[in-house]
Amino acid sequence: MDTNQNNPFLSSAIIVGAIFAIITYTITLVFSYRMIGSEPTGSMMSPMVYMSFLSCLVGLFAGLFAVRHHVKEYNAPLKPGQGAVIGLTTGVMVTLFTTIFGLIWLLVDPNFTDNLTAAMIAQMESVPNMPEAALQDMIDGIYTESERAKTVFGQLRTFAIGGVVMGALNAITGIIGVKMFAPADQYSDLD
Amino acid sequence: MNYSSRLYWLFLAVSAFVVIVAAGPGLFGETTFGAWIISWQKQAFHLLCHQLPERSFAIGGVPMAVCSRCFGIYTAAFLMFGMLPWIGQSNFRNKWAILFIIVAFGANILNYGLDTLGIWENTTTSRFLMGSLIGFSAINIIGTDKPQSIKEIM
Repeated sequence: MDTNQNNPFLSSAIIVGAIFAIITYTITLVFSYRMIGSEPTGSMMSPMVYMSFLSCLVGLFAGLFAVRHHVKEYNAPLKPGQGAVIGLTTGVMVTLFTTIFGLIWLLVDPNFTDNLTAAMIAQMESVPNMPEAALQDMIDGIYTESERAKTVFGQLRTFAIGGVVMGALNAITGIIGVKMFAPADQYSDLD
Repeated sequence: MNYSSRLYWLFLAVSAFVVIVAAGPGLFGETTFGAWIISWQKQAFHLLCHQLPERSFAIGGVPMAVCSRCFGIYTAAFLMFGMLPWIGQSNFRNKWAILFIIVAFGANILNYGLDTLGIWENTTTSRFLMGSLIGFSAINIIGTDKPQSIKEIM
């Protein structure tokens, strides 16, 4: 079967990337507000911990589902290398959309970053027996990160660094997607 | 399977890169918690992991950029990429490759659930080992010639 087809994959990457960005950002927002609205627990384990199994690794499935979407859309042969490209693009899209949603949310709630920073610091300060130097070190780090997030450079840095890792990991899950969803006689080996 | 292809070596290198980044700023000589918070390694995984220090391994007292479960996934993925050329193809492998990853995810969900309910207390090591099941099984699919879907097995 011919595997040299070259169907456009950008629509799959954009659609699936947007969906995963919405899921990831929504989970982050819900638990961020939950943290802002709660009292410090006296532990570094904040309410954010409950998002762990919800958000953990969700972003990795984007490449897998983008390939599935592409296979469903075109029902055409797909090489592992093509799956990797679809996954890579989807990973970058997830990061891009998440960054855009973050910027939009700053317009919706301009105090969001400051409130979250304050809640995180309150959480740290409530931890008993924490050495003063370590506490100050953490607070400085949180402030630096918070101030950086308010700048264009900070957002671009977040997008660039996140995009590289999300892209790389989703390229791998894109190959897995080819193995799982492309018909058995329609893919070739790692070539 | 062609393990001399550029794609194979590229992804072996990519998986090694991911492990190095996931190991966090401690690997690069940072020694403070504040440096961890603002590190690019932590930033790189902020969409993928809760990054709780209590649930992470540490290097030089500085937490890794990901929790131990995620570090298990990435480490196992790298090791499995390296081992793929030495694992033979078989009908058994074709049949169980996809089911293996479903079982791995199920085991992790069960592990998390039992810990949340207080029936089982996880450690960073137990999370690492559970995560590694996902890493091994995921990359095993890439190395399997014709993984059968659940429908085909049934």
